[in-house]
Amino acid sequence: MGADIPPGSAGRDPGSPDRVSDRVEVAETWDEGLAPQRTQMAWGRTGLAVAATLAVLSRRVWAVGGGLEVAALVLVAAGGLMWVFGMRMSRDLHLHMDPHGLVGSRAFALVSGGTLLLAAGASVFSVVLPH
Amino acid sequence: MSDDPQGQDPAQDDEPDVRFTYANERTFLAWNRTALALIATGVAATQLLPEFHVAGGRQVLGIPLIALGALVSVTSFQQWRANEKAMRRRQPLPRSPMALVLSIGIGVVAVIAVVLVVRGPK
Repeated sequence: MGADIPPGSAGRDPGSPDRVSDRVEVAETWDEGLAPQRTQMAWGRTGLAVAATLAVLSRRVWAVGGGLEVAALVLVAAGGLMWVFGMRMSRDLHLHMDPHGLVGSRAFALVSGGTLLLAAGASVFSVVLPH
Repeated sequence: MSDDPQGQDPAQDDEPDVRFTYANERTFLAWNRTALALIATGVAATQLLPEFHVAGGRQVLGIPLIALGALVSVTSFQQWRANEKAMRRRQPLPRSPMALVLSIGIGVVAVIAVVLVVRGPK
């Protein structure tokens, strides 16, 4: 069923003559409204939250005391990178591959994994007492 | 969808209303922002608060918040997958215990904070 829909075409250009499957007929009735913009803004808000969390977690970058703190910083950096890649992947999918906002489980897994790594780094920082 | 979240037979799936899909995505992002806020608050509690009379008081306050943030981040992904699967199969959306877990967790941390504040800073 999904093979009839070229990537990036479902839900857009309802008058296109090559859209013949039942699935596409359903898609023609959809009205996205402001959902894409609201979702895009939600990604923006979440990006700001990530930046703030990274700022809080990185305040000890210049005062790293030992191996545990280095490990925590590595975890924080890896978590930040996973977030960046997840957000980039979701943006690409939104723009080019999937107009319905189904950014795919890989992007979401990256984002969740990034948060988990940030939590791991934060745990280490919290166990190692503050300066 | 270019990337099947469930790894199930796509022939059984229907493309859900796009607005529901977007709403599911925004819910996932909202849970992740909650997780990030919990993590940042936990770190701030352990790093920025003064020492309490209770030994390890800052960690007792901060580490549960960070653990709660980690739990929320994992369950947000599972919930997104479950919702996506239910929408594609035209089934009722699954219930999530996370609202209750989060409420209880924050309540417990609040009680800990009250005890630490009553005992006072060192």
